[in-house]
This record gives sequence, C-alpha cells and structure tokens, in this order.
Amino acid sequence: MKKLLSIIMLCSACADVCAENSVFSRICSTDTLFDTPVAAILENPVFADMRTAATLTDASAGYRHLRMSQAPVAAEGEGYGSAFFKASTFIRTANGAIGGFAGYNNDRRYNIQCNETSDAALLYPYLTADSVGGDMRSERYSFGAFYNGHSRRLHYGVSINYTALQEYRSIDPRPKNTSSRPGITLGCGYETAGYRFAIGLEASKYKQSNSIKFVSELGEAKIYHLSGLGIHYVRFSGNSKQSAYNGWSRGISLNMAPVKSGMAVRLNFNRFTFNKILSDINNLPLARSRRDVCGAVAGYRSGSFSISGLFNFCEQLGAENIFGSPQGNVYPEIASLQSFRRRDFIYGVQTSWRTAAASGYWTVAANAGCTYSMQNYLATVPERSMEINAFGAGAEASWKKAVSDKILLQAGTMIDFKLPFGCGVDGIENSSQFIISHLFNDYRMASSRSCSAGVNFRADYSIKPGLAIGINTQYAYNTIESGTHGNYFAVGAILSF
Amino acid sequence: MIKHSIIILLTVFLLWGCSDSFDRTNPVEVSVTLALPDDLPDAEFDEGEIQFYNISNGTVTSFSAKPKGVNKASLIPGFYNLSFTTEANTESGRILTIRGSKNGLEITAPANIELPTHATVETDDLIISEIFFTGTLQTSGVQYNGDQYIKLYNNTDHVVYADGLCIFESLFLTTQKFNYTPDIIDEAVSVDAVYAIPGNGTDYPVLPGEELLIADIAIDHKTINPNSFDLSHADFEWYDESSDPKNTDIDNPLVPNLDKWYCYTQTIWQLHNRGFKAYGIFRPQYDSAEFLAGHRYTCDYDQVTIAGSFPMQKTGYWIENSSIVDIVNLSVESVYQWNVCTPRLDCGYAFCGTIDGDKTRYFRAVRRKARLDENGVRIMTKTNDSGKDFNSWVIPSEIELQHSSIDAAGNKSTQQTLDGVNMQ
Repeated sequence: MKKLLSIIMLCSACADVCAENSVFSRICSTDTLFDTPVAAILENPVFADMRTAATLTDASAGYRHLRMSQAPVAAEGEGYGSAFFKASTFIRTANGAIGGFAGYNNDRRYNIQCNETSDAALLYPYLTADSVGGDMRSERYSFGAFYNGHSRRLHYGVSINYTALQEYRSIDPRPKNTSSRPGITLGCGYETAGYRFAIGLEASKYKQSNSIKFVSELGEAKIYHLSGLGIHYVRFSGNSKQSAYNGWSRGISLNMAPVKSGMAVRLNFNRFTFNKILSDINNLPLARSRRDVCGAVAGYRSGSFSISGLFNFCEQLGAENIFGSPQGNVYPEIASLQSFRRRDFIYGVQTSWRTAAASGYWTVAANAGCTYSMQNYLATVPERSMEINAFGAGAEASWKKAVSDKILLQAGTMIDFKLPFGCGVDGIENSSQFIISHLFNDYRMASSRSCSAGVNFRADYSIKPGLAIGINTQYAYNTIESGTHGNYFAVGAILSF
Repeated sequence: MIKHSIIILLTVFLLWGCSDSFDRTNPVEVSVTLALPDDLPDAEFDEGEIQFYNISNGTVTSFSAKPKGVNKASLIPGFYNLSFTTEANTESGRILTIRGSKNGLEITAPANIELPTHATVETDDLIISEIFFTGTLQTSGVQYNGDQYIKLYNNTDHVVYADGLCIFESLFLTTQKFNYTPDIIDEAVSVDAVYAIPGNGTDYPVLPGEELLIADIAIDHKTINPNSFDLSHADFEWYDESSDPKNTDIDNPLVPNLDKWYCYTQTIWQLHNRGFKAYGIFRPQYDSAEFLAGHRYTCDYDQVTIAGSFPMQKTGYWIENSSIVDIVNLSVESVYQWNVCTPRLDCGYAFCGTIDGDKTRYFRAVRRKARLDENGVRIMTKTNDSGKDFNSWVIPSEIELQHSSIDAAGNKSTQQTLDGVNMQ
C-alpha cells in the first residue's frame, strides 16, 4: 500500500510540470512503435533525452490474459492471467531528462509442466521439475529510475532498476520461488558534428531460491534437476527439493546516435553467468552456465523514417559438476564437464514510418529476419542436438487522432508469422518418459509454422488541460500449425498527465 | 591517468571477473581387462557385454567385450558403475552366468581397469523370495509396521532343511557411505541383527517349490489394523524382549520364535521401513556363542560434514561371505549410494518407492521374479542382482492371497500373481 501511495504522489507531483502542454500532443509524440528500430540503440541512459520529445507521466491498471490450447513451451505454461498496475514518468529537464517507473503484477500462469523454476528462459536448461506441474501464482514488483544530463558536450546518464518476484502454488507440489534482480547502467558520451557517441556499462545481480513442499498424505512427486535436451541429474533426482540460483550479468555497449537525423549504431556485448546450487545437500554446486551475447545494430533515423539492421549472436555454455563417492552427505567434486551448448544467430531488418495528416497521426512498422538456434548436449555418446531455424516477419500500423479537444482515439493492428526451416533433433529417442515427451512437444511447437494477428484500441478523455483518462483494449489471436491456438486480450485504464 | 586506469580495471573486472572456464569436454579412453574366474580353467567364455552406467545422468554406454584381452572404450569423463555379463560353457556341459561389476569409478582421465569376474553363485539352499518391509497404513493414515515379513523359498529340486539358517540385517545403510576402516566388504558382510531358525537339523523340512513365512508378529493384524492382513499362519516369528515397556513385542505362542543371536536394539527389531538396508540369510558353521565371541566388528570412519570431519565408530558383527546363502540390498533411487556387500553376492538393489519417505511405498513389497515350469512349480530367478532378480514395489503375496487392502482407503487386492507382476 505504501508503494502504491508513493507512486500516486510521484504522479501527482509530475502533473503540474506537464500542465502547460496539451496532454494529447504529448501522448501522440510518444510513439514507441516508430522508435522500435532504434530502441536498442537508445537503451544507454546517455540517450534517454532522445527517446521521446515530451514530458509525460502515465499510470495504468488492468488485466491481461493469454490462454493457448497447448503450451508452446511446456516450462512456461499455456498462458497467463495478469492483473497489473504500472506507472512511468518521463520528464524533460533543462539539462536532459529524468524519469522512472514502478509496477506490480499479480499473475497466474497456466499449466506449467516440467518446470518449477521461475524465470525459466533465463535459467534454461538448469531447471527444477517434477512430473505434476500445474498453475503458478506470482507477484512481481519492479522499480526503476534514470537520470540523464550534460555538461557542454559531455553527456552522462545512469539508470537503476530492481525486479522482485515471488512465485508459488498452493496445492502439491508447492514450489515457493523468490527471485530478485537489481541492476545499474552507467553511460557517458560526447556530442559532436550532430552525433552523440557514447559508451555504456551495465551490471545486474540475479538470485533465486526454490523450495518445493508436499503436504499430501498420498505421496510426493519425484523432483528432477534438468540439464538440457532430456537429460537430468539422475543421481540427485527425488528428494532434493531446495535449490538456488546465483548469477550476475555485465555488459558494455558502444553507441552512436544522431541528435536530429542520421546514422545510428550500437555494438554491445553482454555476459550472464549463473550457478545452480542444491541447498539441501550442503549447498552442492550442481551446474554453472555462461551466456554471451554480441550484438550489432546499425540504422538511420529521421523525424519520419527509421530503419535498422541487426545481428545478434548468443552462445550459452553449460557445465555440470561431477561428484565422486560421497562421504555421508558431502560429495567431492571430481570433474566439471561442459555438457550444454546453445548458439543462436539472429539477423533482421526493421523499419518504421510515420506521418501527420488531417486524418491523424499514422505510423507503420515492419520487420523481417531469421533466427538460427542450435542446442547440443555434449556429455552423451552420441551427442544430442536440437536445431530450430525460422524466418519471421511482421507488420504493425497505428493511428492516433484527437477528434475533439476532449477526446483522443488510437487504434492499431498487427500481424506476425514465423516459418521454420531446417529443424531437427538428433541423438534423442522419443519416449513416454515425461521429460523426453515434453522436449519433443516443445520441439514440435517450435518447428511448426505460427501466426498471430491482433488489434488494439485506446480512447482518452481530457478531464482538464494536461490531464486525461483513458481505456485501452487489445485482442490477438495466435495459432500454431500443430493445432494449437489461443486468444490474448487486455483491458486497462490509463491516467496520463 | 590514475582515474582512467581505475575505470579500465573496473571495466575489465566487471566483464571478466569470476569468469569460469568452459573447456570442451573430450572423451577419455578406458581399457577394461577382464579377470576371468580361476575356478573355471577349461570353460569356454562367450563374447559378453560391458556396460558403463553414468551415475550422474543415467545414460548407459555399452559395447561387446572379448573375455580375453583388452577391451577399449571411449567415455565422457564422469562417475560410473561398470558391469560385465557373459556366459561360460563348462566341460560338463553346464552353462554358467559370468558376471563382474565395479561401482563408483571416477573416470576423469584415461584409465586401465581390471575387472574381476565370477560365476554366479548357484545356491543349493533356500533363497529369499519376498521381503515386505514397508508396512501398511491404518485408515487414519498412520503407518503400521507390525505386519512385516520375509519369505524364504526352496528353489531346488530337493528337500532343504531350514534348521539353523539365519536371517540378518546389514549394519550399514545403502543410502549412506563412509570410508569404513577396516574395510571388510570383500571378505564379509557386517550386520546388526541375526536371528536363527531353530531346530536340530531335520525339524523344518521345506519341500521343493514351498515357502517359509517368517513374520515380525505372527498374529491376525486385521484385529488391530483393518487394512492389514493375517499372519497367524506364519512358520516363524522374531520376538524381542524389550527393555522399554512402552514399546513391547507380541509373542504368539502357537508360532515358533527365531533364536535371537544378536540385535543392535534393546527394544524390538523391525525391518527398515523405507528400505535402506540389506537383508540376507546365511548358514553358519558355528553356534551363537562362537559367533558372538569371534565375529565382533568395530569400524572407524570420519563423519564428513561441511563443518568439518569428525571421527566416529560403529559396532556390529561380521559374517563371512562364504556362509552367505542369499542377500538382497534394498534402497531408494533418490538416496542410493552403495551396495553394502561385495558385488559377487549382490550387484543391484530392489526398492519400494523412488524417493526417500515415499508415501506410496506402503502396502508394497519386493518379490523375486518367478515363472512356472512344466510341472507348475515356481522357478525363481537368482543371478545375484537384486535389481534384476526382484520385482520391486509390487503388491505383497499375502495381500494378494488374502485379498486385503492395498491402500489406506481400504481398496482390496483383486489380483493373483506369481511374483507381483506375472499372472498365474
């Protein structure tokens, strides 16, 4: 409650700052769709003042729902229902910009299988699982702030963020996961010849603790500690119900962006490492992983047109620790094997265009690209591998118009599709064993063609100059060729000033 | 300049600090030389199969192996159990199963392994056909242990006298391993309970294909626990004079008691109801006094914890391997660490449940695999590998025979099987 009051007070304080401008014009100038091609370039807080032209604060609350007929990824479930509240502010200052955000989500994720770990995508493949699974409830808090300024041609910026998550289930098996991730990004840059050149350093710490309980008299499900492509730690399966993840991320980026219009470039490198520990076996260090991401984005940005090409290479290596004969409950480590490798290549192009006409503000964006993903489990003979390649493309359009002094309407539509090619699984025999069957189900989903299409509509009403309330609705239909489909909808109320 | 250096150093630290090496894992070459049994000099050995079981991830690497010479394999470094099986044809025309195994091999570099092999011990005595150690549940869900039993079976073609045969419980747990000194596992099994079947040598004949039922408490347990069954027809029961008046045994005077040679507890002995020990039978060439006088075993070991290493001591008795007729290691997959006897006697384990404290283990037993011969007599499997010789986690024979409860809810057994799996 205190957090909610703080957010409301922050929003109220900002209202006076914005009062002199029309809130509708400020909403219209905040065009995230148009900024998509260069959004990654502007992540460095040195460029925070370039992200949008106007000061704007908004607070929204609502509900989002996605339910697929079958889980596209078993570990992430069939969808979610999420009640949310979020507030963000962006304030231009004489020296740059300052802002922040706060959010609270109360979620229910549906029918998660073969995973009891939160942030599964981040910690893959070293997840904890059982054969039962089910819905998971969660509460997520997130906060962040940034500051950006300059002294003559020297620009600087800092942003901090913190996310905390508690996820649980109130029937057996009863996982209770608590994770936190504080992070900081520092940037400094120099502006010359109409361009700003910058360097950014980022670091974040990640922690998660898992504990699974059973209270049923009818028995317990077996716990598995997965290590990738259908393999699990047989030796520690069963009763090891408490585990922990400890990781941290660090990265560097070099950026160049035009002050008004021109070329924009970003080169970045990020490394995320984490360990998995079995807490109830004397904090046994089970596995460790390192994920390196190298990326390059180059593009062009002007007031009405934006385009970029991107290339991303991601390599994840995973190592399992091998333990010898135990002495009681103490297992001596005898070796560490690089057992898992995943390599993802992504390249693509994004473009956006906008115009202001009598009929309103129009923005159109399109993207196309390819992803190549190869996972290998190296510590078996023969090696196991899974390859998923896909071509993807999408288009999105939005329209905004103030139909009167009091009413602003926004509408949009989008379509995305994915066409996999050259996919395959080697070295793994399909079986009814539940880890393998989920692996093959995930593969079937990932290697099937999929398409999603949606529409959104938003209406804002200006209560007084500088303050508007609105409603936002979204709907999307998702279909996967394997026979899976699902609906997404969202409704929310928004206060903008 | 100093400021710049600090910034550069900080950056390098941020990016690379605490980074671990992730070197590609290369397989290592392992050479396995089989040491064939000395007592079969003229036997002809077939080509067999070597299996490396990766204890960490459960994968199996197997390849055919020559009985003589060096067998080479390429293995991912790891922690392995090694086993070899083949058959040998003796001069007399008998076909023997030859087996060898070594557990807990730490293979992280090229290694030469000599694997002793042996012909499967062919027993001419009773064997353990069933152990019901998990107990049952009362309707309230509370566990009930008094109905534990062991069955012995005459798998031979002639009468065997049970007189003098002893049942024992291992001193060590299969779920907890320390470096015990002295290590006597190649010569003997250490035990913490020994009970002998009474008799003068010919008092208790067991006909071929017949069974002996040895119960903890030989009464009709249904009078105490409606979910249990009747054991008043048992052939024997083990009875303990308890020093704790709150925890006493029940003696059915109509059922003969086993002779108690030794038990670690001053109260009453019960089988480990999660199945963490080994149970066996042996035929001693000595009496209880001689056993107690000459077979004392005291071992030292270090209790290793993350807080340090603490010297400990454990005391029991030992039974020489040559006297052991049959032994069955029991364990649970999630906490299994070792077999408490030489692999020559038993190289696997049977189980009820897959995790420690598995509540689905109740009303279940381990039963030796059986088939019917042409005369309708059960022939039981005995290859000294409890993991393969037994059907684990199956409905006990007494529950099947009496159609009693198979769960706390009181659902009745309707099946009748030879061994818990195969239908009669």
